[in-house]
Amino acid sequence: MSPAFWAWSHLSFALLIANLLLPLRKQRWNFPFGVMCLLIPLALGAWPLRETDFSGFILAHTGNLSVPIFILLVLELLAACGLTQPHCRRNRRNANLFWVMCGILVYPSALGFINADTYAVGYLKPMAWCVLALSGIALICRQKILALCLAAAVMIHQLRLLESPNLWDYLIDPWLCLAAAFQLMWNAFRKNPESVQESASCSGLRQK
Amino acid sequence: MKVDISAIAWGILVVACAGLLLTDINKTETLRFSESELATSVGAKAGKNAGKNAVAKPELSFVLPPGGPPSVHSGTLTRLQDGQLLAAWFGGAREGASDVRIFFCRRAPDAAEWSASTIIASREQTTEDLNRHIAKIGNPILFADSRDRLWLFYVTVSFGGWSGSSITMKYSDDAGESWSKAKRLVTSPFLNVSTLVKGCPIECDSGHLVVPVYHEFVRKFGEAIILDRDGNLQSKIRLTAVRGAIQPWIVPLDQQASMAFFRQSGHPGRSVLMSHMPNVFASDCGRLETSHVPNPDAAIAVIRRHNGEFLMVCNPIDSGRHRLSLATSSDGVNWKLVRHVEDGDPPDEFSYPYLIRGASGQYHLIYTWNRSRMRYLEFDEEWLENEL
Repeated sequence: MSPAFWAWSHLSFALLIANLLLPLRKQRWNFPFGVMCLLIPLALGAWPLRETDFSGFILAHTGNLSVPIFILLVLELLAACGLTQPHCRRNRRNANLFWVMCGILVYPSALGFINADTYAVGYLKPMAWCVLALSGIALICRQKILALCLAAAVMIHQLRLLESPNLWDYLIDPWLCLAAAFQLMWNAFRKNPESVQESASCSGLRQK
Repeated sequence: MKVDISAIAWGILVVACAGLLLTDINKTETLRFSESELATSVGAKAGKNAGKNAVAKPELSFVLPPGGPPSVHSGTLTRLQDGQLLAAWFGGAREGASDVRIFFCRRAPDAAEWSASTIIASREQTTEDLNRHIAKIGNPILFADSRDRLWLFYVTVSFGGWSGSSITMKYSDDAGESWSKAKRLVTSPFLNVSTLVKGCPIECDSGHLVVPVYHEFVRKFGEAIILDRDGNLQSKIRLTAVRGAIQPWIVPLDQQASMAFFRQSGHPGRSVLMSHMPNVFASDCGRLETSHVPNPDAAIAVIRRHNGEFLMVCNPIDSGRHRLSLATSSDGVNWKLVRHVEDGDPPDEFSYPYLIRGASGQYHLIYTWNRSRMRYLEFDEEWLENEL
């Protein structure tokens, strides 16, 4: 296991735990509290458990996190500490749609429901160029987080920081697709009085 | 002027990615099976050595003495350039138990007995190497490439049954005396479950390895993975998406075409399945055909004889695994039973055959004998011809 992958898996675990604590907050976290919420799970993750450590134990059941979910967890934590703006709802919806579509493209094929294996495309070099082009389109469409996630996934794939040589494993994971699908459904079924304001803030307009 | 930090960050990332992609010098190679993997080359050697290394009287023998682990299964064989034969299998309290380990032993070219077995992989060591919890291990495959680097592939399960397996790999450059750390191969996007290994790998002339594998989660089907000479995963080939066609054995016909044979799982009236692939590297799968050999959802092993015929070891019965037989075929569909290697009564189990060919054309077969021992048989063409 490379040191980069070891660090990635431990940080993923810590970010997951810190983000799970987010709904418990009553007010905005300050930066030191956010750091503490990251450091405590990091220490917990290094706790020895059954010939490995706690994060290794959890990782065995959750699989590796993809680059976008890692970035989104970091952004959520930063937003909770007031260091960045929260990801606006419209952009989040578009990104969620994208992740769900990726999931639909890969998972049924990987499970053998169709003859073609779209997962195998992830081993081919042209796919990286396609994803870069897609991230450019996302940027033009003002989907900045999505554009960053896609470009970062290609970058980390090219540096081979994770175990897999397949670009799909850097782009999506089942948890990202499930979370995106859940959020889409949740938003579709709830009343949304703030949509106009949200829409305005997404396009950079300030409400008076 | 307002500076958009995210756009700048994106720009930097894209330029860096483009740079990395452009400087990626790994050229896409046209893969071909190595000449030594083709039946004709081994046949020529066999012809040269005919008589010299003839197996006078094939005898069944046990690889390990009694008193080993209570349950053993899934034997595998390979040979080194110097003629040493190496075997591995898994053993423990029962299949899937947490104390299951991968055992290994060797037999020198002129020795009559196998060496004492040693442990080359355990659940504990694999957990430590991979830094993730491993609940059980199984299905070892040994393969010595043309550089005499010995590869060990085996499955590891973190949760659930065998369908939750992923493939782990080790190698040895000193004929199995010492082994590298375990490395996990990521072959599936679904939490890296469920890829299992059973068939014999094939070497390409570039040193790449084609390892037959299969998928078991939700649907069962045969695949193959391609590794470079350093063991890095390069790509994956879907051999078939037909349900239940698992545990493929790929038999090269020429440098790109091959025939794949499958165990059929989950259907009533099962039989051995086969598919002709004009170019296995292009995932150019042919139609799956049903052979006339019954298959009780049990593993098979197939190789090609020097005359181009196929030789299969299988359990040619509708249910149970109490009979293990040798069969030959010229087309892969119509088979002729040559002889029974084992012929018992239920609940005897003679299963999971693994068949390879030696440098001089002999055949080496290992299989599970009643789940308690690994049995070995060496025979040659002459003996096979006499049985036909």
